[in-house]
Amino acid sequence: MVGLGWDIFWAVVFLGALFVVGHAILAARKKRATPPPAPADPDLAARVPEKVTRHNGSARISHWVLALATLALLITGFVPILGLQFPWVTIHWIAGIILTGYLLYHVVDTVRRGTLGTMWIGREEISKGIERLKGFFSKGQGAEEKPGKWGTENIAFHHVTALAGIAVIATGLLMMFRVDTWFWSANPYVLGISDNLWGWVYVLHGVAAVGFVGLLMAHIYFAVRPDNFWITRSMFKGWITRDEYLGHHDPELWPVDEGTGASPPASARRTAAADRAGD
Amino acid sequence: MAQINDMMGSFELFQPTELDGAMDLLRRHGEEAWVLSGGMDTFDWLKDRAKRPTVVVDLGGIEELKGIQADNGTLRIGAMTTLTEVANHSEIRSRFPIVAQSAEKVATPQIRNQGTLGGNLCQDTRCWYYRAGWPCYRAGGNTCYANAPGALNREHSILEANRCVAVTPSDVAPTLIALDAEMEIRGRRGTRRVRAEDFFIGPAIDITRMTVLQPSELLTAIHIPDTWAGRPMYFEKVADRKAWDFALVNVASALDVSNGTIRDARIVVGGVAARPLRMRETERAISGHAPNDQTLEVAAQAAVQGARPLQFNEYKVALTKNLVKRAIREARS
Repeated sequence: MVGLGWDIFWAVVFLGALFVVGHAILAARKKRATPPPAPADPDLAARVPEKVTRHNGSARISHWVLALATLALLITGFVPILGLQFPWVTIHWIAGIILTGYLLYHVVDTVRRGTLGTMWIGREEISKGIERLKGFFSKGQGAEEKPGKWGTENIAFHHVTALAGIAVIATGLLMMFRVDTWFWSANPYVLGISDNLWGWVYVLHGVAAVGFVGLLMAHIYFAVRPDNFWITRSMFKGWITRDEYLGHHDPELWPVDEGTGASPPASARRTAAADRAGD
Repeated sequence: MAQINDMMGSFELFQPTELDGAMDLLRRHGEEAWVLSGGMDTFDWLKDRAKRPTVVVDLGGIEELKGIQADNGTLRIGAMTTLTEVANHSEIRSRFPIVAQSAEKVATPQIRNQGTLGGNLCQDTRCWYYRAGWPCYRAGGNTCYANAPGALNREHSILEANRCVAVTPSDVAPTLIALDAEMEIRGRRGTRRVRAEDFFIGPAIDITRMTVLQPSELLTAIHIPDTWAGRPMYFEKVADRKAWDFALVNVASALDVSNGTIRDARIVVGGVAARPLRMRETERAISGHAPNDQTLEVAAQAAVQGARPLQFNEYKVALTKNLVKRAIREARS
């Protein structure tokens, strides 16, 4: 075993395209059956600033760094296989280092801010996710519960991407030992890994990489959908409007500061949640 | 792994008599097709079962791929012209002697009678790990067996290695690059011309191929412009044997010298990397200088800048330096 057969790339592209087309058709049908949302409670609206911060500056910068690194990795990884020849190896491992740096920053930043819990999928999130899925597939309006900052589908996408990312980074770092870099000369026998295990490393790297192709197709599709434009805009400008906040999110699950529109610190959110629970 | 057999695996043989017919076959069979020119390299691959094409397209019957014609000073050599014809052609011998010399240095008279210029340029590397059918990078795997502790890599690369350390085997390729020749390539979208320098590619660009040729493309001719005709030029090949051997290192140069000063130069070295390397740093270092000892020393140092010899080929560094010096000092009109 030496690596993944690249025909799988086309299978993933096909499945990704199938998902995009299928979702677009269902979403169009659903939109026709859904009446406009009811106006928000005026008292609640009065407590929310005109602009609500969805992504702060560092989150936006790190997202775009991640996006550029991922694009560079996919282009340098797959375009030569598709027939366009250029010296891709150096660009590939440099982009891989940037992706690794992003991952480390993201983990440290998340732990520092204490927001790991917002990405937890528990029973409640699963049942809400199932309800939202049922609502999407139902012919009628459906009872769609508003999520906090992240819906279950967003969290699930994050976790699948994280899994693919960790796999591609771990295997990629090992593979880096087999090419000349600025830091070391190629050593194909590093760590005493057997040929068979190297085969698995290459296969896993390939599987995670083609997985990224499918994930990126879905991500870009949702980003360019007109009904999601407000989210995409927030990744450029950082904020969403009061109406978008009240229309798409549950303020109980995602409280924001009345003055600044920013999310309060994690500790404050925990206290608020405990108050609501009557503790 | 390869099996050493005298019998080739079965394949369907096509013997077109027109170029369009050959192109149609290549388009139809894509990567399944193997192009057979003189057959000097092909039958090793097929008998060892290291390559197992289902279709072989024999170009031997296509007359339009053969012969040498002069056109406004440019020489057009058909890809199926034999190496003997190239070596003996009077105009090549008088205007571009290094092309004739390099063709004459290939293998043996029998092989040169059968082997073609196109085949010599497009032949695959001689790395024995790869040719023996090991699943190395070049064969689509994930290891270079020639760059392992104790590996037999005396003949392998010292420059531009990128995972794979195989080297270019052609003797004629460096001379064509030195003379700024162009390769005529026929493909799906018609005919295109590629500079000889860009025709050969290293593993950083594509680790499984040695030229820019795609599976459905064919090298049809080589065009040598008259830019360097009659100017001082030089070719030398160093091999373990005087005949029937591939180069350990070969060198080709073409110089523009006036009033004892080198105005312009093209120096190309083969056998040190996966493609024939144009020594641009060396060319820059000697331009504007007289070809004296000091210039030669600078040129030699520049030629091996960045060299990373393997366990058993350190000698190639010194060999390359000396050959580059000779290619400048001994160049003759």
